[in-house]
Amino acid sequence: MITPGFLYLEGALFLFLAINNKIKYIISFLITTGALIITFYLTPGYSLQINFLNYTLIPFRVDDISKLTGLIFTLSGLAAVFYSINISSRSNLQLIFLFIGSSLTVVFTGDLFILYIFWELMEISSSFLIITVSDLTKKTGYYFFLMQAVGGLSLLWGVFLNHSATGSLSLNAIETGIPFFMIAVGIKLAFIGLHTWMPQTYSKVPFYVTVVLSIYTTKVGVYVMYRLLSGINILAYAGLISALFGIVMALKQNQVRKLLSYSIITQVGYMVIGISIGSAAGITGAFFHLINHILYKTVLFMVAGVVIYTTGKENLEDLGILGSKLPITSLATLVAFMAISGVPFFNGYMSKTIIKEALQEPVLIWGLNLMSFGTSLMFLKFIYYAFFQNSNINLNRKPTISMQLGLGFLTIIMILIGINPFLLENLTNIDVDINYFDIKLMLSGIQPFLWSVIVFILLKKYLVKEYRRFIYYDIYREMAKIFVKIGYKLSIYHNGKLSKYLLWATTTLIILLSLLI
Amino acid sequence: MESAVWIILLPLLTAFFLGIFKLYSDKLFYSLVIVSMVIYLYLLILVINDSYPPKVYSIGDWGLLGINLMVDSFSAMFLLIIAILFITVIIFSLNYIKVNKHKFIILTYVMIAGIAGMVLTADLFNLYVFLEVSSMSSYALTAIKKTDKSIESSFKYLIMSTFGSFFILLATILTYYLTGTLNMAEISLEFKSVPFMIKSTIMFFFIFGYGIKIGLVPLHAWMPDSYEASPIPYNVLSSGLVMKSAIYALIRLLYVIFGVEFLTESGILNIGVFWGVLTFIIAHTLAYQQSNLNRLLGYSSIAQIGYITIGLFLGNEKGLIGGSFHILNHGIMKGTLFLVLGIFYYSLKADEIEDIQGLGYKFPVLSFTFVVAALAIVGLPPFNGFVSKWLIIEAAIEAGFFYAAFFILVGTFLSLTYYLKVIIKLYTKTEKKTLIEKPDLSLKLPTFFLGSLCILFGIVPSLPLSLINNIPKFLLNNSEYIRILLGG
Amino acid sequence: MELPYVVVIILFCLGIYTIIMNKNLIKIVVGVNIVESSLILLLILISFKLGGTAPILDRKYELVVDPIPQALALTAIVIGGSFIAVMLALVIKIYKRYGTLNVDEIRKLRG
Repeated sequence: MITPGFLYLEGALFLFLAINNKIKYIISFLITTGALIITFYLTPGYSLQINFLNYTLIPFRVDDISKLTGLIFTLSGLAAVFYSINISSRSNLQLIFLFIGSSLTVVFTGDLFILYIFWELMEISSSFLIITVSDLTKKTGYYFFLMQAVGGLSLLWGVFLNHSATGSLSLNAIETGIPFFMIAVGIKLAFIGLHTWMPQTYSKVPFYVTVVLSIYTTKVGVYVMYRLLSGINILAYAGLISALFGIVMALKQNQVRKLLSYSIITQVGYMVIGISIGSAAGITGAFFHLINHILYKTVLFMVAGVVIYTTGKENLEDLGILGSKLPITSLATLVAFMAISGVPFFNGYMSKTIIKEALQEPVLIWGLNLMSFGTSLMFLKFIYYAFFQNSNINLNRKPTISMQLGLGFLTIIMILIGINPFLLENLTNIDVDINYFDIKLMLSGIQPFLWSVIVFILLKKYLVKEYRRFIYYDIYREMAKIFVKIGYKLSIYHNGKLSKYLLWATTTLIILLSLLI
Repeated sequence: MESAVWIILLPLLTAFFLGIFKLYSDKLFYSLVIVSMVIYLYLLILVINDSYPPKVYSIGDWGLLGINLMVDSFSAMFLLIIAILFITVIIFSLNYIKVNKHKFIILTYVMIAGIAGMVLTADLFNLYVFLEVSSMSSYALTAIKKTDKSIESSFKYLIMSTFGSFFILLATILTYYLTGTLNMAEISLEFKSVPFMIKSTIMFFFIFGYGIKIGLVPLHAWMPDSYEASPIPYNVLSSGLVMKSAIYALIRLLYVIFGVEFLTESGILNIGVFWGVLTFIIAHTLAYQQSNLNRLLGYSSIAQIGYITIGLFLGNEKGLIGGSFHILNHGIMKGTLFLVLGIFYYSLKADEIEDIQGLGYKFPVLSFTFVVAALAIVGLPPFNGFVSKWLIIEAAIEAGFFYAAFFILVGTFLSLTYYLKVIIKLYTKTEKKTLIEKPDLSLKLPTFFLGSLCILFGIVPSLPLSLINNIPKFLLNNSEYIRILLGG
Repeated sequence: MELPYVVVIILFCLGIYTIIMNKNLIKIVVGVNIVESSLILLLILISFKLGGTAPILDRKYELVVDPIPQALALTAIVIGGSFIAVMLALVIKIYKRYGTLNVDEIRKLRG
């Protein structure tokens, strides 16, 4: 039993042998399906120990939640690799494998040291993927790497504080350093205020890279939050604020992928609320929502990718091609839309119900309803442009078979889970005790959706308007400018005169000698 | 005769004979270089293997009246660095240097002899003499390119370094005046009865004098200039050995002669840690501004020396291990970076950041080595820079210097800003450039060797740590050192 | 007894002042020489004993001055001499290239 992450990591090395396309396909197929099968057969409770630098490390440990997350990661990894295998070059595929492999290893880790190492490897591989994949993404990649590095370093500082307080590196003993863990997790899952990297990165890179990045980056953040910070109730309100902000920003966008990025922030807010409740039902709800979210968000990103691939454009108006010319893709869009709005008989409804039932605070329950309302509102805009707005867009090329395969695979799984919500529970031996087909629950699930349809039809004029002016204030860029200015002043101060350098030396001597007194 | 003495003598003799053979024929010259290199490597491995427990050699059998050489774990680690870097640089410079090739190799041998002497000696004035020998050859090596900038930078280096040497000589004379002996062990015993104020003054003179040679801010100003204008193989040796030997001398003096109790009592440890933090923060801020790659790497060296200073001035066991490991790692990582830069300069005359645009696609394996070394210096796992930084941060937290540990992490972020700038420029596509010269195998092999050591020491750090773990025993507990030196 | 030490201190400080404050390259080199001389003078001073003779190994003489600093002084003179030689060579080269001996004008390397 090896951790499935290592299979992907070795796959990145094996791809050096892929001299032509056929071998590339065979190797990627073997690795992705192999990882899926291995994850399926992992038994919870297994752990492995090694020694490194006088510390005992546990690089591999399996329990219920990690097996669940691992399953969905390998499943969607299969779909994403298939989606992009025709379009990406060999070195990009290697970086993708490295990225997926490190994410999987983070999921199955048992102690903080290995967590940090593979967290950083995730950052490095995803940043290099963004930098080398196209000519327009250099500055985005720079910003992305720097921000993720700040997250990684604050995680490291939290690990150090924890180690000095408790003396151990295992994941069970988290006592100090909580604020730094919060910063690290917040950057990773694009919490409000730390989210600035996400919309610009996801909208500027090529679409297949967005698909891969969106699956793993934020969800690993959610998983690590569960491991390190579960049960801190006040974070639920933070999740609510973040989600509401995501809705407001999403309604103003006119680029498809930016809208989808802000909706990720909203949905991650659901998961944050679920984890911060701390009860078993809340955590289970959050992780089921993670699975569902990966499914429908990946489908939506793949749909956006198909639109970009076939027409070369990516504004909201260009979605009109879906209704007219691409049948399979539009079916997938409809299913994903129903799922994300929480309509009963689709998979989103199931996980949202679990979280709602696990809540007790009235503010949070009201907030959750508001979030569902906002989500379906923003996707109604999406659907409106896709199916109800006439547009004169032409198809430049048809989507490839592998893209449609990846799309269809995930859609079928979504429909399966939607029809039989107990499938997930049976798969992982977790029992939640909710009857999904209870009339009361179904009514409360479909209410926000119906309200949003009504509001959309009434306020269509305001919501469909195009917002051209954005207030784009990024505090991190301001801080960077100050840093550069200080450095410039210091650099000018070194003006090359020897006498000045010697003067500094004598000043230091005088300061040193004065310390004696 | 014992092999430790030959470690100092062999490069000197080789340099002398090389000077004579230069007049006869090239073939004789190169064959002597290669033969002496192989013998030297063999001698070094012999002495390194034999270094625990430490051995004492007295020159000319004068016993305690004369000069003694002592090989302990700290010296053995430096001999390891000499072994790795010296062989690499000589192989690299056989093909790389076009101007004054023979003089370059002769001077490098003299410098190595000086550094080896500094590292092995156990006598105070001998330390000063070998320090001057290695400094003199490095002044000459800085100016060997004979361009305007080389001469200017060599002159500035010379004046500032002499300024520092004066204070070292002054402190040495005062020490002799107070104790009447020059042997490190005897000085340490006599020093216990010297008043506090005088000891502190001498210590400050030593720190100031060596500080100029090490490059602590604000005594660092000669360093980026000397990196910009010198030939690149010398840059590897300078950052990897010359500055580090000054750190070696300072640490040997502080811990053996003054003793850890005096250091803690006088508060120099706090000052040292604070100085290290100041050094790397300013150096990182300045490095972002540079457009010349050599200067950028020079400021980065100053910052790394700040980390090493923090590690070595913490005064506990883990700090010494972490700091020494970082000395080894920094030599390897900076060596890789400079050698890759050397290959770029050799084939394209690429000096500024704009000149290396697009080279990631023309030299894929070399750029990958550059990226590995850059990420290692920043301190990202799974490379060797991360392991040594982890040890230093752990030690800082154990010793209670929380602010230092926090700022080391801030420094990691700052160093990422400018290294990433360079890496992105490497991988930006550009129109075709023609190569002036194609780099051949003797240039590429040393680079790949050093780069692979980066990865190797990161994944299996127990290999060098088996040597380094013994260092604190003789530094923290100077009675061990004294006993062996006096008893032998 | 105190006066020679005061002379050493004055020479040392004069030399340091010359190195830092003077603009002419040759005068900086002269300053280096002055500091070097002051340190060698210090070496000679610490070995002096009142009434002692030159350190020659002979049974007749009992009180000799300390021979070790004299050996150190010889070494320091050699080192100082080689420093001055290298410095002057560099000064000549600088004058050829830059055309000026003003230390504030030779600043092609900056930043």
